[in-house]
Amino acid sequence: MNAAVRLHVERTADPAVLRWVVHDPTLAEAGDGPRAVVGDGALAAVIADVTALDVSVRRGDVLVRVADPAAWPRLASTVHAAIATDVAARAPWLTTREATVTPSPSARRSS
Amino acid sequence: MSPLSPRPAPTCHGDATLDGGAGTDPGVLQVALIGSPNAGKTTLFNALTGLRAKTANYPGITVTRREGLLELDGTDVRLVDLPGTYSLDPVSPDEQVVADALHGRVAGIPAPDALAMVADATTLERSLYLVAEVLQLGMPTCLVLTMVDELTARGGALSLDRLGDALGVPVIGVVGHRGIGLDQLRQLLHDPLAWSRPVLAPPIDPVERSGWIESVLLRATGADHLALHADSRTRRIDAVLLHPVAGSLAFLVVMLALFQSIFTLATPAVDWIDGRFASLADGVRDLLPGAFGDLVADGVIAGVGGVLVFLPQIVLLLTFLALLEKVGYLARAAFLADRVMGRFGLEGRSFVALLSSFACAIPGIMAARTIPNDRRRLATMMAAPLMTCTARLPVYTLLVSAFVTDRAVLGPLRSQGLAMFGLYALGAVSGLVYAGLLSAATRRHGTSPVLLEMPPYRWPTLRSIALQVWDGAWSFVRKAGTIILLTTIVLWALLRFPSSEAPDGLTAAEAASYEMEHSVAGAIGQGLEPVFDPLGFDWRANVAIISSFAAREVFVSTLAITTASDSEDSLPDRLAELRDDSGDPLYDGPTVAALLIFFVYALQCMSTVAVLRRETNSWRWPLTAVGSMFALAYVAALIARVIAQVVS
Repeated sequence: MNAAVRLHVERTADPAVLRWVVHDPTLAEAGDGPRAVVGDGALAAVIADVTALDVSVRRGDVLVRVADPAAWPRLASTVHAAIATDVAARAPWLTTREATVTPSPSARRSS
Repeated sequence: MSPLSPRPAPTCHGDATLDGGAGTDPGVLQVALIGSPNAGKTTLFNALTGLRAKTANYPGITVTRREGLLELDGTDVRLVDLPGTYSLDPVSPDEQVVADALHGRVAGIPAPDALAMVADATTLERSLYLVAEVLQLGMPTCLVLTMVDELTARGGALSLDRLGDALGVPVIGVVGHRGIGLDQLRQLLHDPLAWSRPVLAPPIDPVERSGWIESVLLRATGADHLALHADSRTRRIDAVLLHPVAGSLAFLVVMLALFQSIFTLATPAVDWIDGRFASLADGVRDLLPGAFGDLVADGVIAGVGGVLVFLPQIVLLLTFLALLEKVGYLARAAFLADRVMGRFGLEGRSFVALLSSFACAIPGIMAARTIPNDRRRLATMMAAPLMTCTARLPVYTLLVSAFVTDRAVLGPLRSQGLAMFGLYALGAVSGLVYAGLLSAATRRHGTSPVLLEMPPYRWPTLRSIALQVWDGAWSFVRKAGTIILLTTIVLWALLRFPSSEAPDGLTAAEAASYEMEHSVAGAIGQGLEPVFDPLGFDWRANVAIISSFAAREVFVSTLAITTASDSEDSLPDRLAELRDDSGDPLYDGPTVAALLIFFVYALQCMSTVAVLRRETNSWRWPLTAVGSMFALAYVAALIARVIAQVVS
C-alpha cells in the first residue's frame, strides 16, 4: 500500500537519468552517500529485471540511469511504483549505508 | 449529457461574437485555457486577445467556450477560453463544455492542440489536482500562474523553475490585469508543440496522486502548504458581510442605495438628455415640414429618444452590478442567500444567476449551467425572467416618475426610490415562489451538496468596470438604434394611416389623438380592449403592450409617440394629463398599478424565450414560462387594480 508517499519524478541534464524526488524522513535523515539497493524490495526486483540500470540514492532523491533513454517511456512507471512501494515499506536500502553506487551483482543479471 | 444540458456554442446579448466559433482554420494551432473557476482565465484571455469577455470576482462567470485569434510574430494561435472546472469529470453543464471541448466532441470543432492550464498561485495546492488530471491527457501543456503579486503580498514564496522541473512542463507567473508576464507567455504560445512534456504522467490512484501533489508543492515552495498570511482585509469584511443578521442588513442597504440612486443621481442627466431630444425634435419640425418631418420628430426622435433618456439609470445599475461582481461581494451574497434559496428549491449559485438577471435574463439563464442539479437548474432558469432586467427599468421609471409623488420617507430614502425597490423586490420574491412551485412539481431527482468558493476581496480596475458598463450601455443604445428604431417607424406609420380628418373645433392635441385613434394601430388597440379593459388599459396602452414584444422598452417609445401631440411636456407629465371622454384621468393610480404589475410578471422578451428553448433542449419549458407568466401578469394586474381602487 503506497500510502501517500510524497514522490515525483524530474528530468535531469542527462536524458538517460531520471530523478525521483522523495520527501520522506527516512531518506532525508539518512544523509547523503551511496547506498546499495539490495534485498527483497520492489526496486531491487526492478533492477534485477532490467539490463544496465544504475541507481544512486541520495538525501531526498533517487537517481536512476538506463543505458538507452528511449527506454524511459516503458520503464518510468515501473520504477516509480517500485520506489513508492519501497518508501512506504521502509525498504532496507533507504537507510543502509554501503559503498556501492551501482546495483549488486545479483541485480546485474540479464533480463 | 442530461436532458437539460445545453447545446454548445451558445450566444448571448452583447458578446455573441466571442462565443462559440468554429476555430477550424487549417494550420492555426488551437490552445485552450483551462483552470478552476475564478482562476483568472478570462482576464488572461482578454489581455492576450484584446477582446472583452466578461470577468468578475466570483466563480462561474464563463459558462461556454470563447475563442480569439492571437497574432504572434507572423504565427496565428487560436486561443480558446473554457469555463472553469474543478475536475475533468464533469458534474454540471459548464464542466461538460470543458470535457467535450478537450476531447473534440463539439461538432465541427477539433480538440485543442495544446493546453494552457491557468491556476491561481494563492490556491496552488488545490489547483494541482486539476493539473494532475490535465497532465494525464498527454497533450502539450504549460502552467500559467495568476495572482503571483497577491501570493507575494501575502508572504508566499514559490519557485517557478522548481515547479516547472517538478511538473515537467513550462511554468510562467503572470498578473493578467497589469500585463505582467504576458510577453513571456506570448513567446511561449508561439510554439506550443515544442513545450517540454512530463517524463511520467501524474498518478491516477487518488492516494498516490495526493502524494504526488504534496511532493510537487514541497519542491516548489519548500513547504507542504503555501503558508500565506490570512487575508486580514477579507477576514474583517467577511466578519460583517457573512454574519446572518449584519450581512443581511448590509445586503438590504446596498440594494436600497442602488434603487434610490437610480432616481437621485440619474435625474439631472435624464432631464438633460430629455431636453436635448425635445430641442432636436423642435429643430427637425422647423427644418422638415410635412409628413417626413413628423416621422423624424414624432416617430424617430420621440420614440428612440423616449427610451434613450433612461440611459443614465441603466449606466448606474450596470455600474453597481459590475462593482459588486468584481469586488467579490456576490459570492458572499450567494452564501447568505443559500439557506433562503434552499426553501424555494434553489441554491446559492442560483442566487448569483438570478442576480445576473437584473442586468439581463439571458446571461442569468446561462449562468445556471454551473448548477449540477437538474431540478435546481431548471427552477433557476425559469425564475430568471421574473428578475427585473434593464429593459423593464425605463417602463418602471416612466410610470413611477409620473404617478408616485416624490417625497422624503426616511433619511435619504424617498418615495420613488422605495417604489422602485418594491417593484424589484416583488419580481425577485415572485421569482423565488415561482421556482419553489416548479421545483415542488418536478421533484424527482436527488440533491447534491453545494460548495461555494469565497474569493478574496479585490479592488477592480476602473478600466474593467468601465468596459463592462460600456458593453451593457452600448447594447442598450444599439437596441434603441435597431429594434426600437424600426418598431417606432412601423408604429408611426400604423398610427398615421389611414389618414383621417379630425372634426372641427378640436384642439391640436385632441385632433392628433383623434387621428391616431382612427388609424390602423388605433384599431388594433381598440380591438384588444375587451381583453385589457378589466385592467383599465386604453387603446394606447394596448398598442404599447403589443409593441413591447419586440423589446420591453418599446412600451415607452410607443407611449411617447401616441401621446406626442403638440405637447412640450416630458412623457411622464403627458401621461398624467391624458383624459378620457368624461374628463377622468386615463392613467389613474389603479391603472398604473395594474400596468406596473403586468410588467413585473409578463415574459415579453423573445430572446429570453429562445435561450430557454436552447438551454432546456425543449419547447415545453419556454412555452410554460410564456403562458404561465402572462396569466400571472394578467391576474396579478387585475388584483392590483382592484386593491388600488379600494384603497384610493
